[in-house]
Amino acid sequence: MKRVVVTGCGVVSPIGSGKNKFFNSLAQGKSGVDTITLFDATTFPVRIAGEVKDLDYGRVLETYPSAKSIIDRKVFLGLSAICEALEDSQVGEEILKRERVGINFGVSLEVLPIEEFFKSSESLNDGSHNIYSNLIKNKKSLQTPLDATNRIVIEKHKISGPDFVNCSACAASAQALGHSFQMVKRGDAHVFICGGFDSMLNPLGIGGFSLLGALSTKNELKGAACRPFDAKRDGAVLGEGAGIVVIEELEHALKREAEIYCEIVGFGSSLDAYKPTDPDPEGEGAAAAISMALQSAQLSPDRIDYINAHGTSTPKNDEIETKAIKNVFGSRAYKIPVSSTKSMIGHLIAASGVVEFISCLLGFEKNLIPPTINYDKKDPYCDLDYVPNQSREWQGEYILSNSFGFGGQNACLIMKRWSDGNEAY
Amino acid sequence: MKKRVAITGIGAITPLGIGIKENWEKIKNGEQAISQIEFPGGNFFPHTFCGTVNNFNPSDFISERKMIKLMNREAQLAVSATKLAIEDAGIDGYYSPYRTGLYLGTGLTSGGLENLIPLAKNSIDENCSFSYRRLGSEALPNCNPLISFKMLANMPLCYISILFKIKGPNFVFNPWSSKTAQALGEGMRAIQQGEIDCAVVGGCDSRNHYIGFLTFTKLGMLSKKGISCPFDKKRDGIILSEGACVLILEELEKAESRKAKIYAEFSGYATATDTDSETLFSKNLEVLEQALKRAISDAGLDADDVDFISASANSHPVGDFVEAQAIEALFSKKHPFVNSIKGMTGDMVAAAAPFELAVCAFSLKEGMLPPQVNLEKSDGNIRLQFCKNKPEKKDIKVALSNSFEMGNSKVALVLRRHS
Repeated sequence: MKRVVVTGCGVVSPIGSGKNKFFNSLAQGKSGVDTITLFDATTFPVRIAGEVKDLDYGRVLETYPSAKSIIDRKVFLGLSAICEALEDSQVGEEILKRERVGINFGVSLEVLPIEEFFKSSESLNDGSHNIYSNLIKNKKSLQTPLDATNRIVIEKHKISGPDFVNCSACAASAQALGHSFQMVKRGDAHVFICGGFDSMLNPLGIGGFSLLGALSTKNELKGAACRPFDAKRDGAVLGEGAGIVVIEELEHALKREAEIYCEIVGFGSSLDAYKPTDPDPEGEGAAAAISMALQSAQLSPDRIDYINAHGTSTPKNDEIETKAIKNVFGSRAYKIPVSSTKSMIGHLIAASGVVEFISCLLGFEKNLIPPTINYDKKDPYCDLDYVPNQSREWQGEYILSNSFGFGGQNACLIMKRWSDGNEAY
Repeated sequence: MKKRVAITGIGAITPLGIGIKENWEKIKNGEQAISQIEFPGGNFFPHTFCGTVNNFNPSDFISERKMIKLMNREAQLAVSATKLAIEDAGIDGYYSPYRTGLYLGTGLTSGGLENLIPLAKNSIDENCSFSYRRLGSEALPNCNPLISFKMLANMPLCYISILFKIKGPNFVFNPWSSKTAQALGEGMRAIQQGEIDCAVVGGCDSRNHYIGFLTFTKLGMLSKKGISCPFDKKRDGIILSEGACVLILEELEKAESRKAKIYAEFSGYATATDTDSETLFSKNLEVLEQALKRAISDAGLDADDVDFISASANSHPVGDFVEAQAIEALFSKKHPFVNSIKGMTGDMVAAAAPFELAVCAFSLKEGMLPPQVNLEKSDGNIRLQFCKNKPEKKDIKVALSNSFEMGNSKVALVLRRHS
């Protein structure tokens, strides 16, 4: 089995894009949540979200001109992070073109831009007939298949390795990363460009999630609405963004003298098999994914030094996740710092896993773990060390990153600090 | 040491029928399941010929009525096909839930426009134009609060896990047949690597509605004539179809020790990537050849060992031709029998790959080649040994199933007869 390291990353987030800006904001405990501006949400029950404010369309189109005709915002978020990750890894066009490089992106759903759909019908009052005929006449394709970004990237860089589109909701990008890790480990590719991107910040996304009762309606709190593990939490806050990492077989990375962020050592994937609407209240599936990740890393639970939680800020998730952590780690659970970066960036759905993974690998680099902000009042059922409100200096060796998806799909990743002595192993 | 993998259960719900036995009977009779249907807005298309699953009642398969209501049609089909597959394999409760994986391919799950029209109608302001404020104040409060369940591409997998207590490693891939073929391949790999003992793999899709026709019309993929005739001279595009097919994969030794019925051994998988993204159909035969070669060598075989090829040809003028060229180039010495089942079913898109693999498995087990329908006169440039227009007994040992038709991924899967 091969060893797998991370050699590049790119991130687009509500608290800033680019790894430095992103991590500085995390370290300072900044929130990226504010009133929605992408569309007029004044009459919606949920009017706050974490929007990306610094998306550079120009840069994306310069690198990927074929994205011009696409109207799905998440594609641009993704391409922007891909640009940064490829540059950061310095993997170079020759390797992308000539070697076995794979791509694996997590996305959530094909967005139906309802406003575009119905704007194209001039008079909507005379029934649906006009909608049907106008949509056919409209030359522009309003839909963007979920593999659109893959196709753009493949075409541009002539990437010929395995190509995957993972649709596992909130666990999608963590699954994409874990799957890519497994493929490099078993020698199916030398390099993988993997991660995810998402934007649910459209009327159907915000509307649909708020109908499910999963979102915080404390609109007046804005940046203080998302409060994972806090007793006053009342729901998730949606965000948008993208995270892409370049992972690589160790020997391959060493040979090209790549800079190494960390090693990926474990991945666990499980299902709750409980209810479509709720996570398993006992957190059995979540605990199983953590245990599987530890097993795949051949680590005992006492080696984990920090947990980047799924921590959505919904009443159920945070309590269940706490329970699952205690089930796996026993009394040591109280000694492991656990934080949720969602407190700052919101829930990026398909992109959440990888963006959180990136916050961990930057944590290794900066010797710092990000806080859970807006932590104010202790919940008796959530009694771990959640790194409240202030980032913390930290020099640990192993990090666990959790993603527990809507519908019960769970994915956990374990990464290890890289130091030059690690090569010997 | 790689473990070996067996196919021990098949659940198929297609326009041909419900259950693999009914499907196989219809295939042997060379039946075609394409018909004209009606749906709102259908009159704006040149025709509405497609493959439709008839006489399907989800409550025959799913007792949880509330859950049926949450599901879109794709999910109902997928869950029902899973039930058939698990019954067929007789594995209910046999393997540990955490040692059972679930790998699924789904299609476009945003569903029909019908879900959205009430939303849109309630979003019209006094000037007859679309208003976000009206959407928030009038449309949303009157909307089915669980609408998101019908739109998320991962939900079919979640329902399957819940209803059949599957808790192991899992992925959902999207949106084409080749992506589902990857799900089948990845499930097989996970067993080979010893990660799991059993995998439930498959795909589901349903595009027999306005949005489905709209998508494929805009992609320029639909047949104007309304006929699915792979490799035939008169082919002019695809016929949409719907369905679900789920297969049970088990570690071969474990399947043998519980004396399971084994359809075939699943021994090869390769996914190649076409770097040309301009169109959705295949243009580069080198990429297809690469997929075929790598899958065959992954199974530890040579091209000469292949007896039967289930082609992915979906009646597309270019795609079928390029696939034929790739087959011809690679199998120049011995000419395997070639068949595309899409002449009977149309293109079930994300459900096509598992059904075609199931047909290969059944053919190997029965020692019988399925007939090729709708092939009257093949393109003069296509020189393949096609299956006859009726079923034929043949001693076939190795079958290859191609999923090449849409998107960048070109996937080939290899099955061996189990003896």
